[in-house]
Amino acid sequence: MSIGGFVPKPHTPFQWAAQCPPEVVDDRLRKLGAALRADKTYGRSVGYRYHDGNPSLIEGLLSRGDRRVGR
Amino acid sequence: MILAAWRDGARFDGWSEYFSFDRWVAACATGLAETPVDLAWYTTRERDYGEVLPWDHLDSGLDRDWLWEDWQSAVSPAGADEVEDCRVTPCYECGVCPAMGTEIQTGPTGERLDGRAPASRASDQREIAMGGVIQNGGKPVTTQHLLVRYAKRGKMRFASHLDVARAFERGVRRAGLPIAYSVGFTPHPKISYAGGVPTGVASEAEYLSLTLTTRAEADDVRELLNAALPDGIDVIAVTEDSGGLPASRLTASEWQVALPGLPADDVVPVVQKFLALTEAPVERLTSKGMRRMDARAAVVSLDVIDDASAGSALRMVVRHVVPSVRPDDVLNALRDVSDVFPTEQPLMTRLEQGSLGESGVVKL
Repeated sequence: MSIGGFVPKPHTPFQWAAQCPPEVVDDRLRKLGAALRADKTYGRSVGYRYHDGNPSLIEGLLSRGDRRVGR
Repeated sequence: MILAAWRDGARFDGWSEYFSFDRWVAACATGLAETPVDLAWYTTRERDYGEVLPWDHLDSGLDRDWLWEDWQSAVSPAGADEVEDCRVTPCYECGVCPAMGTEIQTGPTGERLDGRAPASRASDQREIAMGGVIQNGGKPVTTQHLLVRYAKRGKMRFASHLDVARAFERGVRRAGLPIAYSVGFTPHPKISYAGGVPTGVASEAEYLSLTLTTRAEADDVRELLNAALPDGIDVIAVTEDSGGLPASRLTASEWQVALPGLPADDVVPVVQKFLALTEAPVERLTSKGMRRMDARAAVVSLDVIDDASAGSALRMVVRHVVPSVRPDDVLNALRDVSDVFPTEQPLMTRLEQGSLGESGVVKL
């Protein structure tokens, strides 16, 4: 399983959306990882990869930045 | 802001071992210090319908209101609305699902497919892909030709011809001019350029021609373009002119070469020596390899302007020949007959361009 926080992009319906704050994303990723590990039936057989909230926030900044960001 | 992060050492940020969130937060603090916005404003803030988004001037082929409706139905308080299944309702030709092996049941025009390939509205599909620039069903439209004279000044003299061409394509779009597009698979705006000055050389006399699909006032076009173009690429005049820019209309240029700190008395004898030559062979490395040309034959006139304390300048009229003879070639020929000229490249400017008349270059 590979998962990360959603990064809104231009020219999509989500161009108006608020990006989820990194703390919330990281908290959810932790909860999901813990739930996976807690279940012995899945814990070993399911690989869990995730993207941290902080880099995603910067990705979001660059995705929807204007000329002040590019400068 | 990106520059601030880079200056602070940001490299290979796609790799987690190099990524530093604190560095980006600091770069936002310094890079956006003079602005009323911050990192959160760009990221965790929801926008409303009325906000002008930085990419709104780019047409991706998707209708803004359609995107907004889709967004509204996603955040509907009653729970996300289920969007109609576009395999069954008419296909939007968005291009996503053919690669996924989806069975489209209803084509873009609403026809039942029953396993047949959709009767794609090929021209519409291309129109979507090209951001809606297919005009007149793919047949050429031409209403008006405009001749644009522009200058390359200041730092913009370091912009290459390709940079200038791109600036004009953007400028024309930003100015909202009804520019004609070429027909064919990849439509391009119809802008044709007369040969530009070498990179590093300034100009007061560059020409290009625009083809418009509806008539526009030449003066309005000049003002709109100047408002949309970067400082230093300045439109001087726009005239209605359908003659195009064949080489026969632009046969000579007048150039000025600044020689700061060099007294006219030192330059005059060198110029006389050069003018007395029957030929002055020089070489220049071009994209076609080392080219050899006669700098003397192309020079119609060469004068020295005395600028007293500031030094002097060369003023020359040079014929457009093949391979081209540029003012730096003439300067190299002058260096061959004397060593008074400094080795660094002086500031050169094209002052005029047009046909060759009795008393110099006749403006186009």
